[in-house]
Amino acid sequence: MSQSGIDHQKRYFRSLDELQQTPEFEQFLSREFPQAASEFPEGVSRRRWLQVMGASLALGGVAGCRYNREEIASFVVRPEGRVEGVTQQFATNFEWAGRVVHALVTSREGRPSKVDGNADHPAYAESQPSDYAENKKMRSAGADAFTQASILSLYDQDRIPGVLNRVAGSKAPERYVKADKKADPDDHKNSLKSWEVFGEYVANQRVKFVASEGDGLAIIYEPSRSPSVRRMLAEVVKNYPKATLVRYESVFSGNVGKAIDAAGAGKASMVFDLDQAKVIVSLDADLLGADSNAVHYARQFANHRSPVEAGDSRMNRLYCVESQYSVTGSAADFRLAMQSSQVPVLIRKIEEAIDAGVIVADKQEEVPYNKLEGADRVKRIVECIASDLLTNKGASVLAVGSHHALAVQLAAIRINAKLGNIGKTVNLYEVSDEMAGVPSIKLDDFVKRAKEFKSLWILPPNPVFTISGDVKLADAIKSIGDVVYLSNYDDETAEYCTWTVPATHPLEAWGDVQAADGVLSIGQPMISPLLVGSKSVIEFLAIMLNLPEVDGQKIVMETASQVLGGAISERVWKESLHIGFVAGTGGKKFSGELKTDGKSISGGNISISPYALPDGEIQLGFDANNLEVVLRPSDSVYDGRLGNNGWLQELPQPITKLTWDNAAVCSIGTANLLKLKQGELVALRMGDSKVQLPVFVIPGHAEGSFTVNLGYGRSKAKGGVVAGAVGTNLASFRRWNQAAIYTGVEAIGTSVPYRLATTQDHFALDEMGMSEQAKRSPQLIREGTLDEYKKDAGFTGRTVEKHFENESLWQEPKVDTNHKWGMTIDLNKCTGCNACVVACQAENNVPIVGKEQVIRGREMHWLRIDRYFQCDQVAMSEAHLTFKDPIDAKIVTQPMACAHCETAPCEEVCPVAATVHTEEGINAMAYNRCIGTRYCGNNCPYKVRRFNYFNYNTEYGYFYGWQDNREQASQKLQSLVLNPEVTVRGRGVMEKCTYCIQRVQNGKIQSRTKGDGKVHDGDIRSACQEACPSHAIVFGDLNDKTSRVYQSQNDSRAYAVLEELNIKPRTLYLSRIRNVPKRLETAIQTTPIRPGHGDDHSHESGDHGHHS
Amino acid sequence: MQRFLFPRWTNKFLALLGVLAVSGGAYASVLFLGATSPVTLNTGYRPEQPVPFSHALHAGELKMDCRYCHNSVDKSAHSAIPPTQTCINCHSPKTSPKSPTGGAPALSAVHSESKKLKPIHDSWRTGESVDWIRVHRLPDFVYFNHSAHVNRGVSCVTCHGRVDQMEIVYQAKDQSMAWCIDCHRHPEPHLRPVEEITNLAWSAGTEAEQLELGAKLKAEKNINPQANCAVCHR
Repeated sequence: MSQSGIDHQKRYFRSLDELQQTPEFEQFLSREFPQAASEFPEGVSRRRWLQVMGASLALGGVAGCRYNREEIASFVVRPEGRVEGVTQQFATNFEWAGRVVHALVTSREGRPSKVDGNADHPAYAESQPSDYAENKKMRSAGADAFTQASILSLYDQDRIPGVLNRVAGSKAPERYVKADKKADPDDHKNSLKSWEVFGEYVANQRVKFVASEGDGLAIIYEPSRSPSVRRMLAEVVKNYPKATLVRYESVFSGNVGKAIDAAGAGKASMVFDLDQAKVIVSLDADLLGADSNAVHYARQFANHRSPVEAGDSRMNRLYCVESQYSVTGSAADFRLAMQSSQVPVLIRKIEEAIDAGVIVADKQEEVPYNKLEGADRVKRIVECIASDLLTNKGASVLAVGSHHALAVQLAAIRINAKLGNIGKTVNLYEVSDEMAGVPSIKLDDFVKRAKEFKSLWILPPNPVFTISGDVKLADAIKSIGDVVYLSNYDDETAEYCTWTVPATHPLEAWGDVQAADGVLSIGQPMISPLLVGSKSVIEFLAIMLNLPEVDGQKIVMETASQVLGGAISERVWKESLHIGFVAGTGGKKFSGELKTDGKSISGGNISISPYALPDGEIQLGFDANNLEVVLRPSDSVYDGRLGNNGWLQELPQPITKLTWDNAAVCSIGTANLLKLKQGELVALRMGDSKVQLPVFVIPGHAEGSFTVNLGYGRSKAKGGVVAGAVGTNLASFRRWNQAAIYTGVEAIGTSVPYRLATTQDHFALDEMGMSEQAKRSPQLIREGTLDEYKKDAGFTGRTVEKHFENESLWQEPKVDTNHKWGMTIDLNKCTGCNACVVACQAENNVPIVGKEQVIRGREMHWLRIDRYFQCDQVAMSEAHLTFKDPIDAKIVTQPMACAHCETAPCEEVCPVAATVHTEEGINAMAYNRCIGTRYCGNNCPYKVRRFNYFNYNTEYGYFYGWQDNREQASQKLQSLVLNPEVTVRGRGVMEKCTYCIQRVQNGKIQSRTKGDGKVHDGDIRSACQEACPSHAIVFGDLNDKTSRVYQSQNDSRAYAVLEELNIKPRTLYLSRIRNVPKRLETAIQTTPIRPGHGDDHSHESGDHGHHS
Repeated sequence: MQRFLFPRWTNKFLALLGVLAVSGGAYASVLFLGATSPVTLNTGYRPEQPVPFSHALHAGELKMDCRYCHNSVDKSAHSAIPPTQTCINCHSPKTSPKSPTGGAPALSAVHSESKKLKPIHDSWRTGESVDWIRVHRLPDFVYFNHSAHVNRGVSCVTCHGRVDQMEIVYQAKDQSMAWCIDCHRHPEPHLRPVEEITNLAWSAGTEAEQLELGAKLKAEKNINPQANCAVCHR
């Protein structure tokens, strides 16, 4: 390839360090693990380390040669249906991190160990791919990263073990002390009270409230999709008419409901049917990532991502306009980076174009899209969006982010109504998170009126932390004095509360939720509360109100009876628990006329002129006087409530790949012009709001915009062992009446360095050298447009420059005739949502290592998601960073785990045969043989092997410095999350993806003991496949010609990463196809460079990269 | 004065020293290997159980099927230790004279007042488990599956010996990795009709007959055990 081609070449890079070839990146390339591989972790002194090692040696000697004597505690009466060693699955439903989860929980010996989606729930059952309908076994629901990680929160060692009583504002107790123990009086005040003591307090309170009808009582609650929670809150007002309900949403999305109400549809939820949508326009709405229905949408979206037209099914098209780079943006066919504050202008322009009936034929333009500037660019985009929407009336969706203003929400509803989408692709279901006829006030009003209240009950998790800094909730709580708080943790809020009552985890409690379409779904406990006495919200309210029924199950049954309009029978109840939902409920669509015609809309209590949207020119470039900051809930810790979940803290965020931190994410241009540097603090200021955050620079972010994730910066003392002192608290910057978008911000670089733990450069696949990389990266990631695919379906195979049959140096392993396991990952369906990463972690006992270790490149994830930026115009010379901001940077995500090469390079270099090939083609690890030379990791071209530098699974407390003051029992609690089917690896051992060998072996055994002796497609699914919301990952038997994995590996889009090495990986990828409109094609998309194209290298299209 | 030297005759000790060093080394290694061999360490382990339950009586004389108690053996990886309830089916304790049934056992009453059965009766009354002592224990990194074996015609006796003749159960086979692999490579001597897996006394006849039957069953049931690491280690 000529040097001049570089400018024009479709370029891929993983990070700016890579683009600039910084010393840090080069170190990651040239050394499998960066420097200081065998250093002691910080925070553990050498002396302490030797003590520990000495102790374990001594114990080793005592143990002797024989195994320890082991006792088997048998059941007295074995529960019915229990077979020891066989897992059971139960359906349950709960609210989790602002989402409704329909789960299927795997339980071992009565202990929940894995959470997945319930494929039989109507929410998922109806959106299964058409070809899965015949094979029920292939059906899966998928579950997002939050849901996958919920199991770790159940076994969180920081949960409070009993009722906590403290004199408001006093120092936290060092350790929980039982009330009956003789302790000093001061300690006693802050100690763990028994439920009886709390019961006395409640009884006294009740007498008071009955007399006063609840005068002076306030209850802070979180809007809930649980009918029982709403019913119990309504009970409060019924029992105490003068009590005040205070509604508090930590992540504000209230404008959607208000807009629907205003449009005349009453209390309803808006649910898109992406299965029916041919065009999807997402304006700052992270439909596939942060949306509460994301799992559902990802499934529906992926159902129509095959470039092969079959019948009237054709590939959908996703437009995405957003400021931050979101999961949806990376999956989009066309993406525009634009400030969030300009969305109102854009939606107005789109509406005007629709009203004008702008339909422009989609043909190649003379000037490619990316050569256009400013207004011309916006004009063409608006024309394309309007044309596509108008030509797909009734089969399109326009969605806006729930954090946008009411006028924007109304405009979106109006446009959808104009396009005839309502009732087809945009459904309004009778679902609400409000109590009908029960008034409530907002939290800021409550704080202002705090003097009127004498008692307070707090139900949402940690409002003192999640609230914006200008609302002095802590002071209000302190002034009330008599406060009861239902919580999992002794957190920032508990500090000011007189009583903190332990809350249950959703897997421990009875509950219910309404699915997106209103189907009543029951939540059943998987285990009794681990910390005895914990109460769910409904039980807590029932106890506080002294209701005749305080049993969670009875309360939920009563609610179900009310929904059904008659007592629920035992049979229906049992059946509902079994399938996870109450059949015959929900699904009530709004079918009336929406009030969208006139010049104004009014419904409910809202009246707003529809054209209240601002007009003007959209600025895509950088304007120093018009900076914005957008605050979004974190993809990892949500609003902070999941902060103590180590899996989520260490989960690399989908785009930034940042772990253990939040940062001010901005574009390259913005950073350069404001003289900000990655890894230095920036001061963001708006009036008297200010905060200092580390800068994180990312291509493709909107100019003049910063995105910051909420939920970080918990206090060291109150945050818990994992969450404490991680990231930056934004309370000082946030303002109550500004939900998410802050305009007119000042950003000043401080040059103060800050260490960020990002995994983006770790385990880079490619060698050094920009020219070499320019050649190779398009081979790792292969993509084209739908047009190109239609012209040349086999372009994927022609992307490789040199492609000839290599002679293998090694004797290839003999492959079993029974099974030949393989995997395909469809890059066209993968959204990079991280669900698979957490699922793998949960299934395979993958430890977390802590921020310090991540910085050293020692994270242990078996499955990582590589994401490559690609942009046309990098006007740069070989060595210097003189390019324009690649604002059009596109992303391709590529899940990368062990590919189980047939001629695996790792196996050849292992001196002790610890990694060997099985007859079925799985590259297996025998941990006990491994002596830790790390040769295999060094020789792995995919960089997927991970080394245990320490006993992360058993001693990881060292890395946070808390092990000494933690009780043994709480460590044991955490270890309950481990999967007994998988070995817990110790120090000095290599590990990597095993294709879930435990599932393969158990599946084979099941087929022989229970089935017909054959393994059918779908009998064995890897954990990542099961978790994938978009069916992007397919695992199965390549010897079975009918299996989906066999078929997909023979697709014309299938390719092997690094196939030129002739290692014959069993994991193949399907190339990414972008259905981009011709008018919005960039230069490189119009004329892609295919090195192999036109050459007469030998290649067989149709069977690429796969050699058996 | 001549320097002191060892007399010449001591030279033959030098050779002896060499022989001693070599044989001593060999002795030490044989001793070490022998002492740490699974055959030495594991076979014959015979812990005393809280209740002197006799398999020889129950499985041998009374001919109770193994699966009456170990009922999950053909369904699960684990062969379950029976719950107290299973014992109580025959050995239910007498209730106290003051109770409604007036001191009679609730169910059939075999040894309803035996002192040896006290831990069982206590467990039944209090709801606390009986803590049985594990006899056969594989390391944690070995994932053995009972159901995979018994459903394919590998009898209990193959790994556990004649439990029906044991007063106190002991480990009869060494259950080492070599021992496992041996069978995985040549399963023929250990296969029998699935109906006979719990009949510990069953025999196909002569060794040749067993091998013939084993080969036949192996072909019929498509039994091709693998011997790679991932079969047991994961």
